[in-house]
Amino acid sequence: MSVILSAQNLSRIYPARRGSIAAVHQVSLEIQSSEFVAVCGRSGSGKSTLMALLGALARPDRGTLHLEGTDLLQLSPRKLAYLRSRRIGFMLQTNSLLPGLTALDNAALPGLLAGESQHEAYSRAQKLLTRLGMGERWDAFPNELSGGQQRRVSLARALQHEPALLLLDEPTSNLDPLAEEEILKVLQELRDERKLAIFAVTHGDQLASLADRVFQMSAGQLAQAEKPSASPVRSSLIERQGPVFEKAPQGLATKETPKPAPIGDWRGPASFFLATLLLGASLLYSTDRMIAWSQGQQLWAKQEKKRITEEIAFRQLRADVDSFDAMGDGNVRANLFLQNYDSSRRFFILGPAIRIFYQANGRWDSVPQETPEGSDAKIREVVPAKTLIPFQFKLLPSKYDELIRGYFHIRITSTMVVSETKEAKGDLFERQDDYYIYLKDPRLTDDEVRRRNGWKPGSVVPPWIAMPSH
Amino acid sequence: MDRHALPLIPVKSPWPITLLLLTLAALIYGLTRPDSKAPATPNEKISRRHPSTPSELQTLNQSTGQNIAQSVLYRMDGQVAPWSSLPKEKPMVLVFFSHDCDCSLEFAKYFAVAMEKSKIKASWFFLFAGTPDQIHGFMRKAGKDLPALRDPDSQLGHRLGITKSGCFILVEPDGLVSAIWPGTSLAGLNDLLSRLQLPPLYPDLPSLSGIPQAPTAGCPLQP
Repeated sequence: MSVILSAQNLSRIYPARRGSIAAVHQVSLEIQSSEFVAVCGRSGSGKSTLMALLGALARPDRGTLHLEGTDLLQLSPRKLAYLRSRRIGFMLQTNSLLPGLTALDNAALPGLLAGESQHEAYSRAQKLLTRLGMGERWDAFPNELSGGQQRRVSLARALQHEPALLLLDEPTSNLDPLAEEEILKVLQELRDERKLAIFAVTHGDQLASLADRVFQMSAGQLAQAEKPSASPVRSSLIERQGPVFEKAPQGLATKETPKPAPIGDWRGPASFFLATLLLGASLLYSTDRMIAWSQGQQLWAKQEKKRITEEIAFRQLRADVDSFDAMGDGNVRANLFLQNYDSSRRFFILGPAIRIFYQANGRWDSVPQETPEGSDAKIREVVPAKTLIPFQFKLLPSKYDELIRGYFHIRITSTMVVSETKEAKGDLFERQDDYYIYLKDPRLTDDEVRRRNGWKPGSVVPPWIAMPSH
Repeated sequence: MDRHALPLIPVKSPWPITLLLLTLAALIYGLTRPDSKAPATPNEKISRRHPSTPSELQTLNQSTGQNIAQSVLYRMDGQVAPWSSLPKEKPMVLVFFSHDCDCSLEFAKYFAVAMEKSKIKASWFFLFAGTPDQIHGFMRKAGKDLPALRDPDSQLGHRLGITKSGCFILVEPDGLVSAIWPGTSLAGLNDLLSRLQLPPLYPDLPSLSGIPQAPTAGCPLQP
């Protein structure tokens, strides 16, 4: 046998209004493996405080404490918690079962928290519950269990991670004598099987009678006492064959042991919530993206159509002034021409609407047109061959600005609406052109123009000159 | 739902479908991410090409009246063609072309019509700054065998203020420049024919299709 727990001169003092109270005073104790130590005493004698000190749940004010050779008082809180969760099992006075978990889940919890696999933790929890007579109530929630059943679940939980030291605080309280007897029997078996060291705090003689050593706690001090004798009930039970735990109520028992619902599995509440959240988020995101994609496609198609129309208007439609012919008396017959530079793609125009201005005193004055009314409202296809758009106007101003002497400075504004379809609906594009022209005053002879410009005799006098676009 | 049965319900795991949807969402994102194809910036409007400017007209009209009898031109075989060696019995029309200019190629067909119509009244020469090979290449592309002379470095053109192809001049037999047209146009060719006392061109001829109405120059002369 080896020493599992060694406590030397442990003291714990609580401050009070009327002075300090030594809940535990210089207690020394060693517990061997497979040893069952019971501490009896009246309420307030310091039993529970001692158990808390031995389980490293509370720190002593003085003394030393070693578990399997490790000085617990020198460990950091993190390391201490790690060691406690693996080597010490607790069964406190209050059961402290988690109300939202089933008996099986509660029992498996220490194993899961210690990082065991779900299968391992739940298998062991199921076996322990069965051994403690709770095999048919594994799926019950704590509030559906009696006090004694809750104690058994609590004990199963304390044994779950196979501790080296089991600390029990009134383990058999709230149990009827028969159940108490069975619990004690299980504890004895476990002690023998696993070489489990047990430290139990109890009021009852029944439990103390099974202990290897019994101590009496009084005013924080520990003193060895004699073992009480076993009660008749115990003797009779020991002789019985088979379990004494009560059967599950009719209708609650399951015919076969179902597969447990482990906490860490996808059915665990947190995992289920997370998965559902992700599922919902994925659905929302997918829907949102699909809608955005659909809208984006429509928008792109519209933009593309507009871009094509713009491209046609700018790159495929050639339009320019074609000719001017003086007809006498200031009448001018002129032509715009339209041309489709890409015969592979048809398009149509509405118009053009043509307006003519001449410059006088730095202003642009409009020139009345004699173009047949409504001719610009016609939709026409622009073909690769030149399409001439005739227009006629009369220009014979008395005064005009002469950037070249003897020439009118005129501006022709042409506005067309370009469409890919003959119906001219949907995305249309308006193209507007300004053509600047020097048009020779028909009232002047070429020689007069040469003279006014200082040009040499015989020099060229064009009837009109186009200016670069600006 | 019965609380007792909650952990026992054989619900299918939501993880596979969640992962599937996440994958789908990623796929959708990949497929529907903003398109990087931005619409192309529309080009400039197609409009008139190289219209002769009023300032070019002013400049060339000031050059009218110069005598170019001292100018040195070259034949296609590389021999010098002094003015004295050129035909003297009738005026000359000199057309300034650029061998690598598409505008000159287009203008060539209009000048060919005018040349044919006026060959009795005038001698025609097409001046190029390029090498004989380059000039022959131009002729092949134009499909015409035009009478050509070389004006290396466009010396004659620059002397007259001509900087672009498509301009043409009328020269008297003594070398006097009687007119300079700042570009190619129907009106300009008709003006030339008028000066040669010939009737105007018939504008509906197929070979004159597309001829500019306003003086229109081509690409810059080499160099």
